Amino acid sequence: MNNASRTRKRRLVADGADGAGLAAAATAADTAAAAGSAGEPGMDGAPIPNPARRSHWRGRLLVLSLQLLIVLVLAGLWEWLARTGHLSDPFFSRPTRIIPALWHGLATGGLRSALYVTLQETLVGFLIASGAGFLVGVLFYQLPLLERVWRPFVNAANNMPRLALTPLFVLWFGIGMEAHIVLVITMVFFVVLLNTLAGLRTASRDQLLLARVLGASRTKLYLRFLLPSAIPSVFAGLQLGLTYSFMGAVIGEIITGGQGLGAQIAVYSATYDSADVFADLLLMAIVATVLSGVINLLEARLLRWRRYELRAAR
Amino acid sequence: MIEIEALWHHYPTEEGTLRPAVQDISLRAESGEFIAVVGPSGCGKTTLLNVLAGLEPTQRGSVAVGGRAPAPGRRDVGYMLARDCLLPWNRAVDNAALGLEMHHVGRAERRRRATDMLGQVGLAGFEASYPAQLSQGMRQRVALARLFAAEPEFALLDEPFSALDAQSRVVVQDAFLKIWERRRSTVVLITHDLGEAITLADRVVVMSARPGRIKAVHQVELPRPRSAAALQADARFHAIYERIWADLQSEVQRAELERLPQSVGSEGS
Repeated sequence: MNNASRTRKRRLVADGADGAGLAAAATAADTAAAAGSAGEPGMDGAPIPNPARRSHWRGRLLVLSLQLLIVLVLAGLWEWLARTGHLSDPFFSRPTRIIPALWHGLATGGLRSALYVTLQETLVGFLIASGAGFLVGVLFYQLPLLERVWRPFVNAANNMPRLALTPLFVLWFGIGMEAHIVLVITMVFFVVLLNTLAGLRTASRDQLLLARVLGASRTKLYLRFLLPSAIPSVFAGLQLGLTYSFMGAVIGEIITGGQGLGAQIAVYSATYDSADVFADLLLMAIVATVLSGVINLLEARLLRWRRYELRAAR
Repeated sequence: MIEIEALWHHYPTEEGTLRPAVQDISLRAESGEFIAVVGPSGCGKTTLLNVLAGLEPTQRGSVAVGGRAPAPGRRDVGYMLARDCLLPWNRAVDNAALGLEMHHVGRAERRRRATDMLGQVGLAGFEASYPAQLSQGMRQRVALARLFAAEPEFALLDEPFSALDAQSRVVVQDAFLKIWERRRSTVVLITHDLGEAITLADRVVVMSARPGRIKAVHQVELPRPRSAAALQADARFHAIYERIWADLQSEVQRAELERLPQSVGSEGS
């Protein structure tokens, strides 16, 4: 906010108070409070130095270096134990073998093609399941009777260990990506559905009353009132769903074999090729973190307003 | 014009009986008139307002707002509560424009009108702030801007200033008066604060303790434009206060006595 507009505002406030000292003082005080919390220029126009910003970056750097230190210490310990013979190579391998194995796998394309298969199963399954779960969640919210009728079945399906369905899916869809995608869908669908439903129900009574007295149409009610309230819960469901879908794809591959990372791990473990097993695991950890980071970014973008709520609560 | 004829309203109790909330209310607000309804808590004032807003059905009697039956979501009717009900995910300007948005006013036009209205309530420069960045008094002023930006012919207000501290209340009341005295929409204000009723209204309706009946109606002969802050020092203000308080006091005492044995079941505000 620039200085001119603030001066204009001050004059406007003074006019509005009709010279009542009490009123002008109260307004000036809450104006200053709000400006201060937002880190904006002060009343005299000079920027207020923000000590929080510098310590924020310093804190971040400290955390990053400590994290790096942990990785180095653990890797060093692992390497040392392996070289001194405390960890046997066929079972535990060691960092200086795993990193080259990862590099080699990515360079020759063996790891890349396996990753491509697993990622495809994960993402296709995740997108179908979260889209469908979201839509059914909205439908259940809109039609409570439907929800009441289906609730016990949904709960049962959600609570049952769905990995046990894998053999059946192989029977139905054969050994290939389809069976894994279907498995992923069964893992993710219910989580997203239930989180969407729970999220829609967090909309506050006040806001729903407001929507009603303002005459909000059904579309506006969802877009402007219900869905924004549901976003935190929906995203919690998506995060969990993503974890589940990666897990579903990899475990499906371990059980049935085929082309993906899980299938590779099954083969490498059976042949005591532990360096490649760990290379696969490392790759999966990296990919899962990146995917989860993408969802986090999307969520942070949609929930920008929440930063201020959290800051106010502190 | 708002016309209420012989309105009765009951709520079902947990025992399966009916509990009367308001009894035989007849009241008429002329176009551009500002009516304040005061009464002890539980006297059915909120029920009365919610019937006018169409949030409660008209059970018995007849009610017409601008010649039509009440209904929620009417464009010519505005409604405001003690809670600001701002959407936390919207900046002040979009919160103030929310009524216009629901009435399908174009984005540029509604933002222009909301910005103008925010200026009138003393929030110029805060258009881009989120509710969490604003003080409570400022949030209620955004709610005020939301009410007036939609230019309602009728404004139904349920304790809109009661959640504010004494100082910001005066500021928000004055912001309200300033806009209303130019617009002259027909207002029904529910309040438990007699001083507020006298400061703002043309007529003050005193309701009895539960079940709510109209006990008295007082004309407030104070010149406009008024200012909440200035009236504090006005002898006429205090004379009117004394006169109405004489009616109200006994009802407040009765309501307090009734409340002693059963403290539950108060009016949902």
